[in-house]
Amino acid sequence: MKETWKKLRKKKLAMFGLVMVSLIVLVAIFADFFAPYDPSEQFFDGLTLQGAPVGPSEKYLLGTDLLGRDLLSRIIYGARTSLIIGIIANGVAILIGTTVGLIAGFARGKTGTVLMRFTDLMMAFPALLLAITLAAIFAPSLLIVALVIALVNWVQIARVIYTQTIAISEREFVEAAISLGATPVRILRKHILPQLVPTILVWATLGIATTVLLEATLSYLGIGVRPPTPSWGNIIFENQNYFQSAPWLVFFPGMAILLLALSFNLLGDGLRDVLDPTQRGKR
Amino acid sequence: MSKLLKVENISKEFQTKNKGVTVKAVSDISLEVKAGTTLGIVGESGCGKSTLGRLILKLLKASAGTISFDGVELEKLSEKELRSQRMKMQMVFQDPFSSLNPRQKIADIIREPLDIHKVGNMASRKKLVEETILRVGLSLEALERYPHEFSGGQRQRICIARAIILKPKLIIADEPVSALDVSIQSQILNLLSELKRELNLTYIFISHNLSVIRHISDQVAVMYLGEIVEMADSEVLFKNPQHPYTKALLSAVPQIDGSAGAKQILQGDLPNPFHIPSGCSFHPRCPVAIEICSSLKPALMPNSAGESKVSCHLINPPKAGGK
Repeated sequence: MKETWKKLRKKKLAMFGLVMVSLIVLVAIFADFFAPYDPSEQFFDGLTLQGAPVGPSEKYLLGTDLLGRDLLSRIIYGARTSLIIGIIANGVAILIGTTVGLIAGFARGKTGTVLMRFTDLMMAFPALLLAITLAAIFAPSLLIVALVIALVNWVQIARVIYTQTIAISEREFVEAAISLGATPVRILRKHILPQLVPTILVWATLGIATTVLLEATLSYLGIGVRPPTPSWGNIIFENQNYFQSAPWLVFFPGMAILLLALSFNLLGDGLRDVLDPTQRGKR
Repeated sequence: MSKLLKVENISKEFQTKNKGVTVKAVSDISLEVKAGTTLGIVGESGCGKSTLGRLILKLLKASAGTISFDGVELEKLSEKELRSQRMKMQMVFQDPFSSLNPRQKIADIIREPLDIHKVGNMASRKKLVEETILRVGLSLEALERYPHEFSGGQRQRICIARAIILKPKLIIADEPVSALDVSIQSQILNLLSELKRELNLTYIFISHNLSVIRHISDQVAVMYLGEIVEMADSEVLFKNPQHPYTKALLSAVPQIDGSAGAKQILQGDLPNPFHIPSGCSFHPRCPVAIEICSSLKPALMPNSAGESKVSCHLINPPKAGGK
């Protein structure tokens, strides 16, 4: 653990990612402190006399949205929603996907076939239809939205992990572990899972951006986070019609999503290199 | 000396994708290994020698036959009992590059058998790991490194360390030196010989290299297309080969004095294992085949001198109206 940290600290890009992720998390936690205004408050001077949003100014650093609310405050509060969605939805998706793929790839035979056919079924099922159904059954809340996204997103991960597990199970060191008398659980934990770490990390970091955007789609359909709660996705969707007259309304939340995804990607890349012993001593 | 391993009528068939077609990798092999000896198994690529090794260790499930090891019939054991039985039988694999987990430190790799079988406490395990790594000729600093930092020979030493740390009775070495340079091969072979003496090990040594087999074996079994065609003490087999296939194999070994000798070149290739020839499976390539060879399968029987077991009609003429 200590060793990993030491190596990670030498990686400038990864450290940049870590710092950015920490900043975003801090801002999200202490949103009350950082946000200049209440995100739901509509300001009288937040709209022009014609009712158009105003651009960045001294009072409204990033401008206002079409209802005259301060965009900076909404983005800061929106970080909460987007982070919770990004981390919970993505985390659960990876957990389910890895477990299913790992078991199917290791057990093969009937268990593997049943699990993977079920995965195929889920993959063929229209994701939005599933999300709408689930959201209709359960009262929409942040947690439900996160779980719905996870239920849609785990299938690709399961497929990738499944094929990789099969490939790794065929390697001789797994046979060697069997010949030593290792239990299947031990083989999975000590010999197969560690080889999957790079794949999982890549999916985890890539998934952040996709989940944040999927949440935006759900918000747009009215089954995501309920307004006026801001999320980066729904800020973009609420304002996309004003893209030409008020481009900052799409640009800034878009940048926020990009920054979050980029920071996680850089951190994930760094972690992958550090955790791979064959990369030791290389740049 | 007591028999450590007894294999009886073991067979292994592999199903192919299109159902109904099977490949016989090992057919009806019986053999015995005495404690403290080395049995060499030699044969061409694809003759089933590696499959045989894996069958004995129960890494593959046999289609038929029984294996009794150290007085225990392995078929009758539950998964759990089999796992604990594995303490006494270990394997060294052909490819030292793929048989070590690239993400484990050497210390963890060598300690793994102790962890699995819960031998001693952490301190005693550490001590044993250190003793073992020194015993196979590596230094203590190797323990903190990862497999990719070592050469092939060093990795094979690590594999050997992992195999001997539980002080097993039987080690199956599947082509342990064929992936190594010739200069390294002899070092590893010498290490294996020393360890055998020190730890009173029994080896099954699988190789396609006759010189290696001759160097290390007490007994040799020659395999052809999933069957043993000849089995004898090493000295007898190399001095006085009986089976035409063994003769051809031995004549192919280059002589150090440069004399060509009477080389016997076999005609044709190894037959497709999907279509094993009728009768004696060697008859289409055999230079001395007679009529009966294509119809009647010879059995592995002692020859008249009683020193070799051979499956050939010319050595052991079939009795009239035989089986």
